[in-house]
Amino acid sequence: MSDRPADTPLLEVDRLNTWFHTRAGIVKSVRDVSFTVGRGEVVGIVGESGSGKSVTGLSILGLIDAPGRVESGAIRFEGRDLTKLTEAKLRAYRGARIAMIFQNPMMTLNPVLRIGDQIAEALTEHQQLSKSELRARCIAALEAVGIPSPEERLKAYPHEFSGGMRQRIVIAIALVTRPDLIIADEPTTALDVTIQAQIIHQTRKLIDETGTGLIWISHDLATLSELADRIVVMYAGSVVETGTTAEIIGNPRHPYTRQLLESVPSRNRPGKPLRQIPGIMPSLISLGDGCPFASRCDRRIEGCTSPIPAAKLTDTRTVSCINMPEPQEAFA
Amino acid sequence: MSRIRSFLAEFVENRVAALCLALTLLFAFCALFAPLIAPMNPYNLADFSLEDARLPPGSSRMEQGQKASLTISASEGRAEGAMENITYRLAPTGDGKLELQLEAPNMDVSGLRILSLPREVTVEDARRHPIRSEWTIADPSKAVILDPGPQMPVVLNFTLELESRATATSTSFALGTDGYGRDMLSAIIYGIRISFIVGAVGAIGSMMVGSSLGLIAAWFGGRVDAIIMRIADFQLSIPSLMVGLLVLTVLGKGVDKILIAIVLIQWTVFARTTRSVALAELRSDYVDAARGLRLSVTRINLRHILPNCLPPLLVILTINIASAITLEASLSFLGVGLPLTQPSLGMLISNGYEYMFSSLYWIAIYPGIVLMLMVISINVVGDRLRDMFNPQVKR
Amino acid sequence: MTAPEDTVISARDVSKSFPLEKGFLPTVRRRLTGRPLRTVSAVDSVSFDIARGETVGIVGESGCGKTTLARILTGISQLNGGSLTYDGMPFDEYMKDPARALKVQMIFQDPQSSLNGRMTVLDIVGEAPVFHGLVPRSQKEAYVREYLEKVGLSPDFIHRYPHQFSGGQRQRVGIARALAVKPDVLVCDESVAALDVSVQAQIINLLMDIRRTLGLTMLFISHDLGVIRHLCDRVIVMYLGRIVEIAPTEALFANPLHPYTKMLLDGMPRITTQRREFMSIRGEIPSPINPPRGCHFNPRCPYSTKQCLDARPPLDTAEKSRRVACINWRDAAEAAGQA
Repeated sequence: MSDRPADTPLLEVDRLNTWFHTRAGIVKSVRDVSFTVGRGEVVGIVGESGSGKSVTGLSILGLIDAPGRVESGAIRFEGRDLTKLTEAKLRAYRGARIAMIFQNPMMTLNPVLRIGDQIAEALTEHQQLSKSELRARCIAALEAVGIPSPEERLKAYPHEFSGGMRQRIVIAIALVTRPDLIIADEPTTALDVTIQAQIIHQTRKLIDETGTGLIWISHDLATLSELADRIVVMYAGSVVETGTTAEIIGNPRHPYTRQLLESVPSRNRPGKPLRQIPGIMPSLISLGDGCPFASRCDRRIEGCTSPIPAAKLTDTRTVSCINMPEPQEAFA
Repeated sequence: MSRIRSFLAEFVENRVAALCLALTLLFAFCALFAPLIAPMNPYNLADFSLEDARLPPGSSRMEQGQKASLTISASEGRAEGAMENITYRLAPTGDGKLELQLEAPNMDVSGLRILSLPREVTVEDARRHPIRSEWTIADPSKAVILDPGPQMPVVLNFTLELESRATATSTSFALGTDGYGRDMLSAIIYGIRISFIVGAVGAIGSMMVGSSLGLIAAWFGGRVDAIIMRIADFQLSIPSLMVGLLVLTVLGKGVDKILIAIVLIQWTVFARTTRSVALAELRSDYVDAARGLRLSVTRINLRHILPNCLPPLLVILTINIASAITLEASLSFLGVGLPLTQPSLGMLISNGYEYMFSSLYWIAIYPGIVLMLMVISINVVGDRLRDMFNPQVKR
Repeated sequence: MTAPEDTVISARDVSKSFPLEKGFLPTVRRRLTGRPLRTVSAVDSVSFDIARGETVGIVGESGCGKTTLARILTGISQLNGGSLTYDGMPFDEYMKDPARALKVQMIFQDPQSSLNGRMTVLDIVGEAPVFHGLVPRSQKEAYVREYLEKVGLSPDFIHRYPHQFSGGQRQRVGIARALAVKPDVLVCDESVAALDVSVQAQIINLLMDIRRTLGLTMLFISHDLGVIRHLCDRVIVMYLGRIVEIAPTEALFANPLHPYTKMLLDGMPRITTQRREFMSIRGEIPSPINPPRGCHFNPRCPYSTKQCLDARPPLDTAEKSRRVACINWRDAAEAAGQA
């Protein structure tokens, strides 16, 4: 686990708001989201569709297109506020200091270019290198992610690889510039279980070796529980809970987190009805100021319709709930 | 009934589309009731004459003047007589010339000609025809002086032709006339009829034929698909105008033959589009679900796949309506398809093209404006229908 | 082997292969040289029985053939080898009667593409019952309302279009569509894979509920072992078109016999508070076009021996009501016991 000294965190997201101004109304995809990522730390952002987790990741890199925009808040990367930068300055960060991995590898890979060229492009965009040095770095990148016979594979095209291999190439591209932070948005969701396990294993190894910070966005609590140091739980655009993995999984304090964990089949007796969260996620256009989970929460009280502050339970723990359930015994 | 009403109510929410729908309905009305609406029948050759050609908008139709023909036989230079209310008197003037006086109380004589005079005889103040023996008198109101020459002929035979002024009738050409003397308004209304039928029926017919073949090709695949697509490829390699020429030369002239030609030309683009969309839709789970529910092949194609093919098809349809109209105009202009006496809007425009740079603007502009409005309104209506069929478009 | 009395579905050596080369020239070449067309085997000679009322899970990763098998069992795809019997009757004969053919229905994976976006819920659910005469047209609306309630949707949704629903709601519509033709067997092809965790729980509960009230036999295809464990009585594990293991659920999870099953269970992400050490897993899933010789799993198998390349291992009975397709399963079990 990471033990961060009390210096500036690698990334600090401070009350971020990203809203989409559509004809139907303002969709508040990210509302007052705050969390930090330390150097070499793996932070998992977990949430369901509509929770705003992907939009958060895209906002960090300034990849939000109209009609959406970052309304307010700060994104401080090594102390520098990225929201204040121009597109040109931001481009110097993308790929070089902060890299992004998407769910579909074909969003990153160009089907008509050889992968060797694509890896090289990531390098030459930000650095000057000799040809032999470039080639050596590309081969090393492929080796690091476990692609066999990398010298020959440099000449291959994306379609000659399976889905898992492609995603590994994308990770290779992300890592080749030795960024300080990687943001991965559901990178293994579309992959088979055994491949997923391999990629998670490899990613963990690489992170430990290079000391890169990692934000892993997923809807799968199981994956995050095995990979992340800390977890941020999001619901309908807001952060409901943050803490270390042991804290969140072993002793969830927010009703949503607790009910989410309870609804997973492996936490229920086989054959018996699963404990489910009633209702559906509210529309992001017509949300009020209060807790977004209030409409489905069985612990709802009067004050839940007003804005909920993020209570800081410990140094590493925040929960946005004024009526928390009692602490649980930790699960193994 | 109420479903149609709610459909229409939804349609007219978009004001521009509502206006264009009204226009399209107006054109359809003209197309259906052309003989009842048009002031004149431009197909009836007897109804118009070249005399009325190229008259500007608002001109009145001219009644042809009356003609009268008198055969006069003068002896010793004298003649007298009356015929059909016209009296004449020929008498020597005294200085060797003859004077002809006419009285035509019922006629406003505007033209007077003397024919078949012997060579020696000349007429004063008259123009002689270069070839024939025909003298056209300059001022028919005055008395005509003939000069018989050195010798007074004993017998002098000649024919007198009188023409009265054309009088204006009560019928006026609202939009003027074209080069053949046809009333533009009537020609345009009849032209709308032909263009509308040709465009709409032709394009819709080719959509039905083409889409069916496309669905069949996509569903059965294999050999059936290959055969249909190769025929389409082959046909697409020949310019459409040539296909039209070939078909119409074999079939002959007429609106129905043109419709066949248009279907034969346009089916290919519908077939290909339908096939490619259908091939993608066939991979969807909902088609598998329909198969699992054991629905019939026809039902799956018509009720499930075809509606998903409609958006691009509707757009192509509206483009093809205009294209069909232009195609028909080209073919008629080239002499196949429609005869010159049954003009469509396209043909009226092509005929009027030669007058573009003269001041006779009405012969090309009015058909052009009407054609443009027709094509635009059909296109807008098609776009609106496409948007309405797509439940996901915010209206 | 003969099937027990209450068997609904009986599959013997069912195979399905797809041609790799299509068209004019390859066919000519085949006729001239006698070499057969190249094919890829999606389902390679699988045999199993499904008893009435039981829920059987089919688990495997991409290329294992589970989706193709599902489509064969529901009559959407045709098998080209082996035999399939329903209620004792050969499949083709069974399917001839449309009323009987409706007895096997499928629930699809993708809520987006499994519903026709241009049809209202009324038509989506009500079309087939009216078409087959299960309900007269005048009663269509009432019938559909009834089924929407059964799946937990408000009957007022009847005139809505799919795009106005969330993923979970669309999946419910798909379930209503299948139930409306009164099936006996429900084949769920990754039906909860595309859903959020909380919605997944709702749909799983719904499936369990209707299974109970309607007495359905279910085949549940998934890559998610957690869901399989919760829902199924027995599990069939597939790899590259072949069955590698069949066992009752608890027995499979407590003690997987086939090396691939072991790998699958190990790799499965689990909710845990401690970070695990990952076992380094060898190799990629091979392409079905060029599968390894003998046992398909041998390149990645930690227990493979030379004999594993010789021939396809038969699906033998290992213990009571358990079958494994591995010649070394006893050694593998010992080695695992010692580890």
